[in-house]
Amino acid sequence: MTSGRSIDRTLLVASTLGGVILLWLALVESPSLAGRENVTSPLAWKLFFFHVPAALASFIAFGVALISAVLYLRTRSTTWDHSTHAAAEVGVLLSGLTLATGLIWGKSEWNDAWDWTNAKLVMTLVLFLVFVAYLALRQNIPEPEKRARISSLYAIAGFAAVPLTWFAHRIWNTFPHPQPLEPQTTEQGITTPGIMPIFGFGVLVFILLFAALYRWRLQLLEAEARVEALSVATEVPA
Amino acid sequence: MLTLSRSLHRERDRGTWEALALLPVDWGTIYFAKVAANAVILLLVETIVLPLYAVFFNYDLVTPLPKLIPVLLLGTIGFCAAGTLLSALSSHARAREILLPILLMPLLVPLLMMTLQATHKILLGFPSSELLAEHELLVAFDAIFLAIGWLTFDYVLGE
Repeated sequence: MTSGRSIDRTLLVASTLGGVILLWLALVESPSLAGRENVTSPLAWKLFFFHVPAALASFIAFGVALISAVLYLRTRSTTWDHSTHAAAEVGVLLSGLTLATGLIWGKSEWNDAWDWTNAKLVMTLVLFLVFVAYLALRQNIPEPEKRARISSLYAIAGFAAVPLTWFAHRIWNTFPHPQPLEPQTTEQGITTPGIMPIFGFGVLVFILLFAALYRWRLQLLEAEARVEALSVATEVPA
Repeated sequence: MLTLSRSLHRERDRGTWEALALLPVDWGTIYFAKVAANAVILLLVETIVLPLYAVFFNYDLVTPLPKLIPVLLLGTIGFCAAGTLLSALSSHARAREILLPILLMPLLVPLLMMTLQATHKILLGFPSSELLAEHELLVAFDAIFLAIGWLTFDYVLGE
């Protein structure tokens, strides 16, 4: 347990320090894209260093949640259920961060915060909503065993909708409908020298952040379950 | 959506559920039966609403009807497949009537998109060759959710 503690502490310190360094790198050190073609808002573009890493980390989080849900149904071990819960919570946080930064960037770059014809946006929103609904479902089932079983099933069913939404959007895009908003700026920006290392660092920081929060939340959930079990055990004889 | 939640929640409250669980059939079969029953009700509603829609919005629905029917069928089956599964899931929860739409809506996004686009194209008079992709995705949606429901219904109701 002590080695686990030190891993947690290292992860927390590393991701916090990394976050501060990332802020400085992204806001001060990163090359400016001002005056570029297709970039109307070079300042908002700096959100890229937080937006994309947060999105990648949230996909990892939801992946962990899905795998844990499947493993729970196979093994019926509560640790896997707690793992799904913890990963879903952190995933919702990261996904919300992705959506928020995306909205701000979209507003200043496209002059339109949301674009329903963009598959990535809608897919991220569906994923976000599925796991918000997952957390709402958990809140509403008092019995721990039932809660674990039912919410794991929902996580699996919900995840199945995500690739379907992706394909639906690929078909949707062939529909004769104007496509004025093509986000080419990121592809252009990424080839600019000096951006790739900072972006890579950002991905690392967000993955560390996910790992730190996930482990932290997981331990908290385990502790909560132990307290609950103890209080039930002491109440029954009285 | 209201009928969906009623179809299962009422059975839980009245204890019909326990009797059903005693039936000597696979629970996957019960799931299919529930999907079928919900689909029949929904199709009945559609046969009433569709003519009304044609009258009030002054649309000619008779000519595109042969193309419209497969889309309606696939959409109804998909809606009921996902809806029945989630209504069974939410029947374990408190505040289940409110919870069901919250759980169901994100899953229905691809289905709604495809049925909307297909009906839109049909009403605009597109040839059926241009509707293939929508049909494929609707079939995929139906198959995936029927399979998930069939395979996991034991877990949903086993207690």
